[in-house]
Amino acid sequence: MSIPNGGLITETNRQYYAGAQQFYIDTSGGGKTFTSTFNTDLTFGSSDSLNNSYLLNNFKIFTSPDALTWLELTPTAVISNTVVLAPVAGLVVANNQTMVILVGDNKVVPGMLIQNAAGTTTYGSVVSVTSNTTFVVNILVAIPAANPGTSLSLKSTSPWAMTGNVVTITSFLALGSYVKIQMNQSAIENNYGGYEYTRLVDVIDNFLIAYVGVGKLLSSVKRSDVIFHAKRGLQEFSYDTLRSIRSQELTVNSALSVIIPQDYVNYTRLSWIDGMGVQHTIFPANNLTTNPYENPIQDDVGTPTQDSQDSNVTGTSQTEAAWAANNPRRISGAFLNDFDSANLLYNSLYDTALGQRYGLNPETSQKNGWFTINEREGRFAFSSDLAGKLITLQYVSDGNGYDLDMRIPKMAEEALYSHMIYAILSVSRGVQEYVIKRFQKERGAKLRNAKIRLSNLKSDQLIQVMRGKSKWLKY
Amino acid sequence: MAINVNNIYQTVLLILNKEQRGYMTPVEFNKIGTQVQLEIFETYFDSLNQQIRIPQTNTDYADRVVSLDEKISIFKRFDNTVYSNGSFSMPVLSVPASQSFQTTGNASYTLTTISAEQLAEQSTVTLNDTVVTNYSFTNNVLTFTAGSVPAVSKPNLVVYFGTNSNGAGAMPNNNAFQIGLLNGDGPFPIGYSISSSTATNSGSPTVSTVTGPYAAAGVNYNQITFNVAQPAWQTPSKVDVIGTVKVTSTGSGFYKLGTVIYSNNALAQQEVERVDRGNLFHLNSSNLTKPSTTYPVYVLENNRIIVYPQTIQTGISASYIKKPSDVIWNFTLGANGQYLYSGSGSTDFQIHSTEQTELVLKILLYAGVVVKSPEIVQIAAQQVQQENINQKR
Repeated sequence: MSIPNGGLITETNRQYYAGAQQFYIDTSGGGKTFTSTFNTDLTFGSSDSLNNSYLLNNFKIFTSPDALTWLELTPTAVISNTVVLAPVAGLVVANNQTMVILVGDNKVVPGMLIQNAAGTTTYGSVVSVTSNTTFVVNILVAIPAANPGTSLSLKSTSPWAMTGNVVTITSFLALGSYVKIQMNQSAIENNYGGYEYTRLVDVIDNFLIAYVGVGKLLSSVKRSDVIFHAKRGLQEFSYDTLRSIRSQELTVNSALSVIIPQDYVNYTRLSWIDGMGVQHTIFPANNLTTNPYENPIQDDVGTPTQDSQDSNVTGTSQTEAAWAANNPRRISGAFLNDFDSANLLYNSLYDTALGQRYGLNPETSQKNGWFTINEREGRFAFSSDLAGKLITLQYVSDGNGYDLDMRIPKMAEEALYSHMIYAILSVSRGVQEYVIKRFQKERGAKLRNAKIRLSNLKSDQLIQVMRGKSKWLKY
Repeated sequence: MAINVNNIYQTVLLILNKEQRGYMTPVEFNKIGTQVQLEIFETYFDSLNQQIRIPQTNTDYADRVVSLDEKISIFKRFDNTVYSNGSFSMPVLSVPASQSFQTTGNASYTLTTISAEQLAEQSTVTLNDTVVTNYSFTNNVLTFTAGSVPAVSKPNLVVYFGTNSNGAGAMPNNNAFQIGLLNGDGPFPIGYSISSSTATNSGSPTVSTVTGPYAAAGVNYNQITFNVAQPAWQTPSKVDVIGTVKVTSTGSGFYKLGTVIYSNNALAQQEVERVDRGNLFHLNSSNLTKPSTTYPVYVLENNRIIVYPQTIQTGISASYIKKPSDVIWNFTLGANGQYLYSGSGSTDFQIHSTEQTELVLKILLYAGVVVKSPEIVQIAAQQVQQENINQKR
């Protein structure tokens, strides 16, 4: 079952679990190409680990003589380097001249830099290889005459490259050796669980295949229209149907705020985390306070003042300052020294008093703190009791932020097709209203089905929850 | 699958000549044949448009859409495009079409394996591997401009060794780089290939310089130096001096553009959607529909494919329909001056063989006009109409 055989799974077990794809070298030589078949497209910056662009790579290339001991292929790797003796007469400065060495060397490949043994002087580079003793070289600094010839260090500054998922290794690869494409850990993790989803580009292609064409309901639709409705559908589904999987773990600083995430559309929950890792919901301040969108400075008669650019002069918000300075316990009525942990074994004496303080407003009687959204500054703002606390921000995006996001859970794939059919039909000319209604209903039914599926209602979990009903709360 | 041009011509002549109605010359036939082939070819696309809207029977050989597709498939191609200055060309042949011939001293040469459409799109002419520019194409005939007509090729020229009359002494026998050719043989342009048919050749020698004529031992000769040393071209060796004209075309005979595909090595291929300028503006204005390498689009302008995003500069291929080549019934003149069919240099009808009857009828229709026979025109028109009715009923 480990070999992909025409089903939807296209990666081997090793590609999926270990993020590795291995190749056997059946003919020696340089300039060999290797095609990646990972689900994840390869990204390439540089093959030189000392180059900053190397960080753009989402994979590494390894070589091995026996598939047991692997060595990363970089400009400093053994197979990227070799030492030869220059001709006794040396070489003058000239392009495209022939260099003949006495002892053949298979590791010389085009593009190699020709340096002295210490690597301090670069004489030139190899243009092409005629045989293992004869090379066409460009010489920029004359190689001195010496007997038995100046010792030259040849190295590949770029031993491999990649375009379009095809890796080209310029370095010499020996017969019977192995090459491995190894995905980076983050790329491997991004691919884990990928079978749960269908990529949006596949949804669009599937839609065009199955629903558009002569003799079908949609005889002709522009691809760009399908793309638009697919992306819009994914946005809508992200808001209320798909699971909210985006979250950030942050620490509230002394300014009592955190920046709204880049792909944020709406929050689902903010919590602070106690010492046991248990999350406690932070509630919105709602009507308790607000973050003014503008804070114009007024003159003595209350008129906003303007600066030299004719814009209102704005100051800091007094409301926000007062809210940040207050002690939330004065609003919630919480006790001073109750414990901040969910640990039931550390209940204090004060716990017995909880619920006995009559007259409090239940809506504000909570000790987890409050947050507001400061639209002026693009931040979440917190009440002062959350200063320095670890919080988690769970939010929804629209599924269109990054390429990796553009995918739909298979549980909701059919609902997305229905959404696209309905959306296209409803804006198409000459479609009878009853047809539109039919697909509107179908969309609704499938969306409801998708929501139920994605709600993850498992019978055993329901049973576990329902066990609570048999507990005696009062004697 | 092609329809033999001679069969059609003979059939047309047979019907036309019955009762001595008239005669159609090969030139008239070639022009009318080409016209009729294009007429039939161009009806395919409108017919397909009509048939595709009609429910078809899923029975072998009876599905008209499938039948039409089979006829069009003869002309379907898929080739790469070439990028330059921000846009891609129409599809060009991945393996260029080429035709070579020896120089005859004539100004004009008829090309038989490269169509006029291909030549008009993209072609290169070389003389002995050197690109030349002093020529023109008229349909599929290459004509060198006056003053640039290549010299004639000459086979079986006698090699001469003797005494150089310019005072340089005797030209030695078996000179590795030089031979003499008797006066009148030459001079030849530089680059003409020169090979011996009676001695061993080394490499691919060509003419480097020609001097003379010189007089020696009672004969005049031209002295030819060539670029590769030859082993034993002694008297009485013979040599061929050949000039080669080569016409190469990557033109595809493009007629209609089909689907444009973007592929970047092993990455998934993407269809490139065709839009117009107005749509492009709106697509670019929306973040949701802005063209990307995953969802690229193209604008077709001035016979060029402009792909967006413009970062795409390689990997654009396209399916297309090729135009049928012009029909040529080539001939030689017989002993009595009659036209004799020559398969060499002829171009058959390329449309599907099931079109043979319609082809003959339509040619007869035009032939009736040519020979001024209303009877022929009327009969042919009725037959053509009947066939059309049958096909589209």
